[in-house]
Amino acid sequence: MSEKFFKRILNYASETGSKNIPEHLVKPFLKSQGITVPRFVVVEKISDLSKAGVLRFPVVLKVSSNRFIHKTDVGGVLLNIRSMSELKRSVKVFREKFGGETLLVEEMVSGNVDMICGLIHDDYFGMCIMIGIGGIYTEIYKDISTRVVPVSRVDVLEMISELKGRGLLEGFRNIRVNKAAFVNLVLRFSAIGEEYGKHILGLDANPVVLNQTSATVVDAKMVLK
Amino acid sequence: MSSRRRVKERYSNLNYLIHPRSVALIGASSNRLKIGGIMWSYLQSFPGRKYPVNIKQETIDGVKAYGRVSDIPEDVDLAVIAVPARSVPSVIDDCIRKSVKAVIVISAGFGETGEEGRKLEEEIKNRIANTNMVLLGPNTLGVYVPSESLDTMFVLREKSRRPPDGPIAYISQSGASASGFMDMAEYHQYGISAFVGLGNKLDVNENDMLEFFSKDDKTKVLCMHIESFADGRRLLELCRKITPYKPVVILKAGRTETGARAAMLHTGSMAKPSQAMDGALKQVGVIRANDLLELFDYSRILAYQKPIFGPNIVVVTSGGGYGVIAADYIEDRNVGGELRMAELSHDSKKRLREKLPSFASVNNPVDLTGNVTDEMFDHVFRIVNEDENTDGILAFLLLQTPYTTDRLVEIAWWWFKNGKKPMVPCIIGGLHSEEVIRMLESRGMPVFPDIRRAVLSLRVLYERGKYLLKIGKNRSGAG
Repeated sequence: MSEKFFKRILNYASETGSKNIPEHLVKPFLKSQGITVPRFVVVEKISDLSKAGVLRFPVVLKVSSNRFIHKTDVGGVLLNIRSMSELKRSVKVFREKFGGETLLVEEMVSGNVDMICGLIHDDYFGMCIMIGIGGIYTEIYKDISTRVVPVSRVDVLEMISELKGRGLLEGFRNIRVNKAAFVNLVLRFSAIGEEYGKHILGLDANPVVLNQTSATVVDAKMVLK
Repeated sequence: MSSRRRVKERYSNLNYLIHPRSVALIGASSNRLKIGGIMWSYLQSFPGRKYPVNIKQETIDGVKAYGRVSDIPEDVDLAVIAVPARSVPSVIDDCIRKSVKAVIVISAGFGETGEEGRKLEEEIKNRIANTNMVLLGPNTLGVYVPSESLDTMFVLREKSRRPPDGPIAYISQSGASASGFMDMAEYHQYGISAFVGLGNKLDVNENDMLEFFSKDDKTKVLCMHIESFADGRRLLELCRKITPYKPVVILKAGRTETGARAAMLHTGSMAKPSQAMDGALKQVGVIRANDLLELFDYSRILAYQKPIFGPNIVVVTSGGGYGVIAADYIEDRNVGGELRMAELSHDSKKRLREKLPSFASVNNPVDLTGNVTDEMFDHVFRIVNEDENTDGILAFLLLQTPYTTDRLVEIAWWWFKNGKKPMVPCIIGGLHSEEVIRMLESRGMPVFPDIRRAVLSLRVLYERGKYLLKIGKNRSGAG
């Protein structure tokens, strides 16, 4: 199952010569690995939009291309689209702006805490896994912990305990999040690192949105070796 | 020859680097002002066979000198080379002809100096590639093994003393800091099983030596100062196997280097190589030191004291000021880590009150005040050892108070050795304190002359204990 989705990623890389894998290929792969992602529809052509009918509004529209790895910086993310007609209008605007690039329509996910989880190939130690406080301030606080892949459940709990912001996962100010779901997500990333590490230079999931029931990868980037 | 057999022979040849039966010194001299002269004179303490090799001289200090290693009639286990860099490749050839087991290249002027030196290194590498000979260096002080009286270091003994025999294997990639470290070790009677200077790591590297000393019964703690990793993945594998049985303390200098990274990713830009290293080494139970003093403190406390299996520390002092500072450090996450001040049991407080002056504090820190006597210290150590709420003890031994005597030192020594709860002693003062510290250290009781260093060492004992619990080693089997 996963093999198929990772193969698509490898094919994309060999066809385009690009190491940056667009999100519409990363998300299905993550999903196949048992990682929660928002429900999504990939829009290659306008007729694909009819598939978006199954989604629960509001939705978010994203450009998914190796050319725009930082989508927000180029206005390639539109949040809070409330209806199908609004979505159609937005798609038209994106078409003019980004040409024929693939678009991704996703359900919006609400949560209380943003985390980051990533894989990174280290020159000395091989595939490493990182977790941290995510969201837009990620690079300000740099509140992270790393280990070498694979990690055990005990390792992940120890990593969380190293974060200054660990209280966010432990009921600070009555913020209720499903810490166990995040721990499981990190373990699944570790498994990806173990199995596909020889191809991957880095994989970023930021934010991973935590709420009372789940941990959902809202945005994901992958770079191959 | 199968590669498995080669690995095995290589390993046994490492043994000749540390435990040779015979040593040849290439570049030996009778001139004590020259490196080859200093080394030859220090080699005299080695009880095994030793041969001076010098292409120009017939005798060195009245001993027959050989023109080449291959002229020596008996077997040579270890060849120590101290000739100019450009002559080294041909000496190596000769050592290969002679089937020398291990070689140390003391000479500098190789990869560390530039392109020409790198070429020389390549030449040497090619020569030894198909042999089982092991090569330490180049650009190294070599080895110092107290139990073998083997000393290849050219730093003068009167300026750079050699530490006594003991439980710590010291592996260093930096020669100059190693001689300072060992001089300091001698002053504090910190015993080493061996010192190995890695130099440019052309052949023998830190992983070889870690593996070697992990199997050495004498070595209880591995203490390593490195600037680069020969093979990070292998290091982790080795440490994962070693740390359940022996603590490994690593100082990795040069933390700011940047590697090729996927910088467009958050993970890539934030998880710098040093970050990845922190996580990786912690994962396999390595204790990290940030500088030489930490490397020194952590390796010796781990060698001479038991691990601490919980975070609760009780501070025993007769000076209130020390206690307050110590409590601040213990509760500061950046210094004490996860340590915290213990809450003594009701019963302990009651027992303390019975023995102490009315104005003494029976809370933590336990402050015995300036009226303290030797007996009071003894009582307090007993009570805090028996308290279930304490895991470790920080003891300030104030030598300056009027009613304590030299016996206090004996009491502290007894509890350090026999107490159920690991104790870290701290003595602050001048000349008199220094003398007491040295006396205690000569018995194998490390004493810290600084509060912060003492708290950091407590933290390391707890990190060790926590790691052992995490990997499922029980308290009795540890240490």
